[in-house]
Amino acid sequence: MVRTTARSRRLRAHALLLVSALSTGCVLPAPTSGAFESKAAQSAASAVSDARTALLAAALAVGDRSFGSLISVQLAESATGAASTAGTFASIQPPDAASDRLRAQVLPLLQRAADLIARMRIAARRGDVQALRELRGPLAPVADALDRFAEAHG
Amino acid sequence: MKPKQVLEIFLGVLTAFGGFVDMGDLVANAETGARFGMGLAWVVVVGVVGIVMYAEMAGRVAAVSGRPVFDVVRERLGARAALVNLGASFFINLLTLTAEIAGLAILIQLASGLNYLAWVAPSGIVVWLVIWRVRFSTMERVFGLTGLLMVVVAVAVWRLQPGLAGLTADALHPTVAHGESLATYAFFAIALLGAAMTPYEVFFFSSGAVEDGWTPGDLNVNRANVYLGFPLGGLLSLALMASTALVFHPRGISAEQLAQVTLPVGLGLGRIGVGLLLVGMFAAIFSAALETALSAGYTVSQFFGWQWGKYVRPREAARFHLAVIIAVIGAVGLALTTIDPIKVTEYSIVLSAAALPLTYLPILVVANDPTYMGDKTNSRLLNAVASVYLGLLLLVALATIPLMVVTKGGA
Repeated sequence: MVRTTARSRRLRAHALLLVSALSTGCVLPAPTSGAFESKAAQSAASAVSDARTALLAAALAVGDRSFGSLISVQLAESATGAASTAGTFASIQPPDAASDRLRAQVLPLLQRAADLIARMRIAARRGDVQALRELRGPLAPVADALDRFAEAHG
Repeated sequence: MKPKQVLEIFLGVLTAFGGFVDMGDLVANAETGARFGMGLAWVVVVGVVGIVMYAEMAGRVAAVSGRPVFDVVRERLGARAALVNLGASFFINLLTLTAEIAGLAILIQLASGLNYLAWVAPSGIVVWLVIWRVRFSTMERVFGLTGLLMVVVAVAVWRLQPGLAGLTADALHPTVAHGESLATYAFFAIALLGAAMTPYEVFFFSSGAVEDGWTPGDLNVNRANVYLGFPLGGLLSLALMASTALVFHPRGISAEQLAQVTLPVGLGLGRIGVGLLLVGMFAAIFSAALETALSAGYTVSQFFGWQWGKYVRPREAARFHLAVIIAVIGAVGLALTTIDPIKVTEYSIVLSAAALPLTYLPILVVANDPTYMGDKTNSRLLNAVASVYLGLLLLVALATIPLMVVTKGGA
């Protein structure tokens, strides 16, 4: 009975830790290098989606094929998604040296994508089509590099 | 057949066509097209055949007995079985209504630029006002017919890939897309089936038949609506899937926002296409919001035996209108918690899939009961196919929750 109570207390404490970690937005550490690699690949794939959505939206804005408000909302969604992906991945504790190298490889790309999409969002809000056109140039290769990373490690 | 009857049938078919797609169809088809290409197109066909078969039965029950399905189910199967059905249906209906109202608010955000949360309560109020003030037939026709503007998605798909040869080949040779697991494939198949066969559709369809005063003489209208209108609506679902399969799938883009649905249309048709799509989507989602809000009132009132419907004055069906108001307030409240509208939509369609046998088994039982149906019971062939479907729906219901856990909600 005593043992059961102690075990249930431990279980409750673990559950509480898990719930509080999730509810406060803390990211649990990846326990193995394999799990870390998988999270890195997922983050890269998610950023590819946001970056290429932003590229598509910017192309429509440049070609005057959609409405300003719609493009602006779409780019804001993509910017939020990319920033969240980069922030979440940055907070994951890499478990070993190999994971450190992966982190060094992908995190700058995630942050660069988030920054470029955020600048696109600002340009769209200002109705600055020229800036949108110019930002597509540097974002496309970042998206391609992230895509290659996701393919290689997914 | 008189010209007036022909016009009535024609308008009914177009209304069923334009009103077929809702938030669930938009989200499920866009997401699966982006992730699996046309690899899950067959599920839309399976779902449309299922809803056609069971909606025809529900409409026939209403036309022959003069009573909606839920009313007859309670009488035929007893209050306890109907209460389980009511509980599951009302909960799923509330989630669906939340998704529709949030969807309306997002569409207004796309047009105005103002955050969607500012539009949630006004959208709920307008939905309620239309239910309160506008005649049933007017409401059904205006939004159903305007929803037809969504056909621009099919036109855009044609512009992006004339001939559709590649898409058709993919649809006819379904494979699990690269990087996706079989479990995720099965989970999205279930989501698509849930979106196509959402329970509120049959409750609304049969109650609407009573609202429109159908008699056995209207069975042709019933058949035309479901045999023509629903499959045309299914083609629209496939066009949505094809649009993201063509534009998003090769680029590695996942469809997670409503705004993304407009991108392939912008690419294919430009601003005019996007404008027409926004109006069509608004009308289709508004129509679905009206249907789900009314279905909440219909199911509760029919279970408790209260006077219901818009064919009587509001003061004569006060408890019915109160149930509608409570459902709208509940949905607005849930949407205002800032819960992700797309996630709510996903959960509503997946839970719909889990609850499908609860809705469709009683319809099959009642449609075979000569006490209600006289000589208009199901044919042997229909019963055979409907029974196979019921077996499939039971399997789907058993697999839904485990697949949801294993795939982390399709992540």
